[in-house]
Amino acid sequence: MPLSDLSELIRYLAASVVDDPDAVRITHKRGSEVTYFIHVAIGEEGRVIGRQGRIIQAIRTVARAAGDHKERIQVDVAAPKR
Amino acid sequence: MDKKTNLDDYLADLGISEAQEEGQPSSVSSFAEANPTFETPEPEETLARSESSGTATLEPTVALKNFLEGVVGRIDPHLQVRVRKADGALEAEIVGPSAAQLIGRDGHTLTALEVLAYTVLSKDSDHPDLRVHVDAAQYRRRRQERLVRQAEALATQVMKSGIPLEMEPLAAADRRIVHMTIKAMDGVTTESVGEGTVRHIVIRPE
Repeated sequence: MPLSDLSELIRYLAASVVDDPDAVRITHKRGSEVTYFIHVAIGEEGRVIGRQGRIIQAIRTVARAAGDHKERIQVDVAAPKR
Repeated sequence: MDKKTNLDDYLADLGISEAQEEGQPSSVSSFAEANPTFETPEPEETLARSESSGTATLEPTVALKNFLEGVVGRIDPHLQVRVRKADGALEAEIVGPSAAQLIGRDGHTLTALEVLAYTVLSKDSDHPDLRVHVDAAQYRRRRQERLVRQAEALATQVMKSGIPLEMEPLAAADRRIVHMTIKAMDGVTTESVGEGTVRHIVIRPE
């Protein structure tokens, strides 16, 4: 699955669990693995992370299932801007 | 006058369907919304409105289908989602040539989809007791059938020998299946013992 499609999938998953879906943005960084960063409205980070990280872990799992397994995929919540 | 008779019939039908579909809170509430139409002078218009408001307050089955279609549609447009309501749980099935891609090791991807779907549904609904099951390529169903057969075989063994048996640790949903299966059998009882990842079922003679 191409990078942009995976971004869109992650955006959809994150947008589905927050109160302000329009504020969700995805950026990514290429290294030894591709890391996707989920940006959400201020104060909504917890929504995407979930209790004991359950939500972010679920998003990672679905993203990895959708990926082509040629590359390692990481998904994180971007640190809130100050 | 003729119209009113039709409306009464229609509402009576609604009442009947409400009684038949137990445990469907949203249909109950949409019926409650439809109730004032008994007194309103323009029944047709009011009915039309109550129908459209019914679709606006997304029934859990619809919300689940929409969410999962959004997920699988972004992975493979050929994948489809079916949702049905059963035993107080919502059961979704992902079907299509590449559906098995969404199972994951030991069903981990299905579990992840369940976590997300539950979160989405509980976000804007008042059904915290809702259970959501997601299956793909019949993985869960086949596994469940195996588990039921295994539970029945072990229970029969306990019944004959009178000696308790311990099962392997199982996830909560799987333990539930075993409890339910053996509950329907006479002469044996089940109990979950242990904590966390070692929590498992003991089958005892009654």
